[in-house]
Amino acid sequence: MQKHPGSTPSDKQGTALFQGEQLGRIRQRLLRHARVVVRDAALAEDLVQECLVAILEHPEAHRGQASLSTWATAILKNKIADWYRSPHQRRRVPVHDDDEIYDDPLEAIYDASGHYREAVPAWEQPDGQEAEREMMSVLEACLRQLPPQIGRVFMLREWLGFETTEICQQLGMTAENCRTILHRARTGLRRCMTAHGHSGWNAT
Amino acid sequence: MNPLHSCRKVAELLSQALDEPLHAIDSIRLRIHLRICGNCSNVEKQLDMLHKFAPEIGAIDLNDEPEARAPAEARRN
Repeated sequence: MQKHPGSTPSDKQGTALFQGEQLGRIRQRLLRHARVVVRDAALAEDLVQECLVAILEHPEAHRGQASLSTWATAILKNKIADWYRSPHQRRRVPVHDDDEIYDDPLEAIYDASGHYREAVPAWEQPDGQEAEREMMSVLEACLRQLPPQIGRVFMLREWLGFETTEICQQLGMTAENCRTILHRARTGLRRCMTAHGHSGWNAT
Repeated sequence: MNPLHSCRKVAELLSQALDEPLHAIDSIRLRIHLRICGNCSNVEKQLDMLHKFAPEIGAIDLNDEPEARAPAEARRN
């Protein structure tokens, strides 16, 4: 889908914002994020669509130094949070899949006495924008490798900033369940990033 | 009872601490363990970084990601 830039012909700045294939690229990025947080692919499309419509209708709202995709992401986060908080969405959120949650190979990282089998390396703080971008793209890639339910709960908590009590309520999970899922998400991300990230953002 | 948590338990508590206040006793045992355990200290720092950077997903431009950059540059040149 391509929204024609001409849909806001009266706004010079708006037209300029959406030249070329920028909109298509932004849409792809938004979809990637939305799909991690929202299980239903069609729903993710809807939310991204709403977000793009909001942008195209009010391009003048884009101000300051934020890049277009940064701005679009902020709008998308609001749309997704609103959707999760809307009273009508509950029945559309499937109850957790137990096998997805509990079929988890991460336990292999500890020995019988609960100590790490392998040393945990220190990560370096990303030094500069380039290293930060590198780290973010590893983070995004690792996030997509998590089991969907686990990635979704992580994104609700850490990306959208929902309280765990709210996540439990919205997804119909127990507090213990929620805790376990977040722990597994973080452990999975930590290990994935350690495995794939180091050469990337260690370089100075 | 072992006054120190295992690393496994510490990892759980480190995650939990990012979401809710810990019980005082857990919190104390956690701090003692972290002081003497390098692995768990590194885990703590890694989790802090995840916590710090996860909200930035999408907010930091990845225009330089290879699949996005390569075609755009080719066209421009």
